[in-house]
Amino acid sequence: MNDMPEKDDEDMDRLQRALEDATARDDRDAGRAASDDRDTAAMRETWLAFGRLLEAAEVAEGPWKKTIAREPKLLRRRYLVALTTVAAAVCLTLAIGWWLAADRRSSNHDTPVVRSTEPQQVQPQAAKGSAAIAVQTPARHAPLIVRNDATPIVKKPAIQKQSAGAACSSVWDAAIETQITAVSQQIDAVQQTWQHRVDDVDLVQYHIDEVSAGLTNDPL
Amino acid sequence: MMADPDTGHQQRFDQWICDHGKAVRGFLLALVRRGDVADDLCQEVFCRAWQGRHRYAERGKTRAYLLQIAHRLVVDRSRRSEPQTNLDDETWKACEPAATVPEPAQAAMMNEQVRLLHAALDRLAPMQQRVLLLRYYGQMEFQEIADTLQTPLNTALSHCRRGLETLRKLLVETTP
Repeated sequence: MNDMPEKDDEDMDRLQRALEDATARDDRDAGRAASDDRDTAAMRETWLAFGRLLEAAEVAEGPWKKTIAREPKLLRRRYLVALTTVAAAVCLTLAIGWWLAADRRSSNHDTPVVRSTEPQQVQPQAAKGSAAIAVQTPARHAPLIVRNDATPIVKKPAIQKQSAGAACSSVWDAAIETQITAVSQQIDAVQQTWQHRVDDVDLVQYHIDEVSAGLTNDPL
Repeated sequence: MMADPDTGHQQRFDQWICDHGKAVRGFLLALVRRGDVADDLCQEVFCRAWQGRHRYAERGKTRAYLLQIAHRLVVDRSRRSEPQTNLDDETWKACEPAATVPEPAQAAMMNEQVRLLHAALDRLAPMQQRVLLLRYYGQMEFQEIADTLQTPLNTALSHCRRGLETLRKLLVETTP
């Protein structure tokens, strides 16, 4: 019973040796068995013909151009990420720089021109009053401050004294404040009116619910 | 002073391309039968080899290692079987500059040999193709081939023998 597997093993070994001889790269390795065994010699001949065909196909396809990328995809991806990060940083820096420059230009534009040789006509009283308000104005009201380009500080010593600590002279525009107050009051009025109506609707709804509950509890 | 490990890897990688690039490309060309696809896959083989350079343990089986990668890539490609668009002749001529064309007689002979090779490969079962090509290009032992193809040794041997018999019949038929 154990003879069969052994025979199979022998056959397989023999086949393996024959195939190794037939398909050897070098003729010297193949010569021994090929000369002894006709089948192996035939396989060897076929193998060589197959090799010639493969080589011919390679020649027909043209020489292999060694265009292997020196930077595989992973590295290229890393470079891309790094490049993108640098580009984003540069863009951000430029944007901040531009914004700061624009802000500075705007500040310079808003700063009263000390060298002005032609002071404009300004009401002294209004200027005085506005300067006083500017000093007392809390920071949270900053948007309401209107910078007065037309006020040449050089011609107004009193205002210069009061606003010496400020970066630029600002005045309180009472007209705008009045308008804002009026609009706020109108908005409040509308909100109150709307609230009254909502209350009325709620009341009506409450009565409807009452009637509905009464009808449900006391059917006719 | 410590040596840069990547420099060593790169030198080894360059050596791999010189020593095994042609074989890997030939193996791929025989399987996919298109030069451009073979070149792309060849590129991919070496890229993967480079990516896995830290895991690779040198045991003198570099070509077998590369051909295993190539084999997996071919299998993956055949599984994907994405639709491909071929350029028409006019577009191709516009895109591709004129190449050095061989003499007509030489070109005809080469074309005939390529046709014969394709006919031979067509007659072989896929496993037979792979066994023969791994043996030819990889110079791998049959046990290695069996391991690569995840098949028993005797099956690999049978594929090799039947493949050679099939080829022999074809060559006898085509030889005048």
